[in-house]
Amino acid sequence: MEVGGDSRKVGRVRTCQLEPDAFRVAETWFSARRSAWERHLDALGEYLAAQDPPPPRRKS
Amino acid sequence: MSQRSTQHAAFTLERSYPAAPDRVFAAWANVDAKARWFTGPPGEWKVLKRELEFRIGGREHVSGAWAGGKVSRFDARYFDIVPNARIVYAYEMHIDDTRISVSLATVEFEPAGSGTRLRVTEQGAFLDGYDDAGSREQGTQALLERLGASLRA
Repeated sequence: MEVGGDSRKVGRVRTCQLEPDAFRVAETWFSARRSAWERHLDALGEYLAAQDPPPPRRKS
Repeated sequence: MSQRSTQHAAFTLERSYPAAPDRVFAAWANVDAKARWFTGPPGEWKVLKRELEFRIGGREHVSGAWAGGKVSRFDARYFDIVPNARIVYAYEMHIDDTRISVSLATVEFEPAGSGTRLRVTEQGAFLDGYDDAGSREQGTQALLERLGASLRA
């Protein structure tokens, strides 16, 4: 958790401060790519559903 | 942003579709079929150019303009194609002239009953902290939802 953050030790207590920007930037990219994939895979499902062949007609 | 930075991330998504693997695979292999779903958000993004050479060593290019004027470019190269089973490609993303990420994507197709279980894994290097244009807001929203969920847990 010290990557991109700050850490200092006073006696037995180490206080870590996470750099919000570094964290936010990586998380934002990760979430953006993931939600782009979610959107694509939803659209793929809709495309496949629209391609569904019509149900076979019953011979009477 | 002049400072150089690299962030790595990997994730896997799974979906099930009520269509056989050959039909799901065809939606990745054919440029007209892929154009129906591999696209930016309607109303916010407009395609400029799309090319697909679906073969091992072949390339794919998709570029488009966001409503705000920025141009995104997706350039991929196919490294592994197993019909109806697996696709592996590497791709880079540009916003205007800036390379923002380089990723490896693995797509696996598994029969599940009469349908298909699709698994997409992305492993990426995100470069220099540039925005991903229009998807940023969406990403932030997803982050906030996960933050909320983790706080409730």
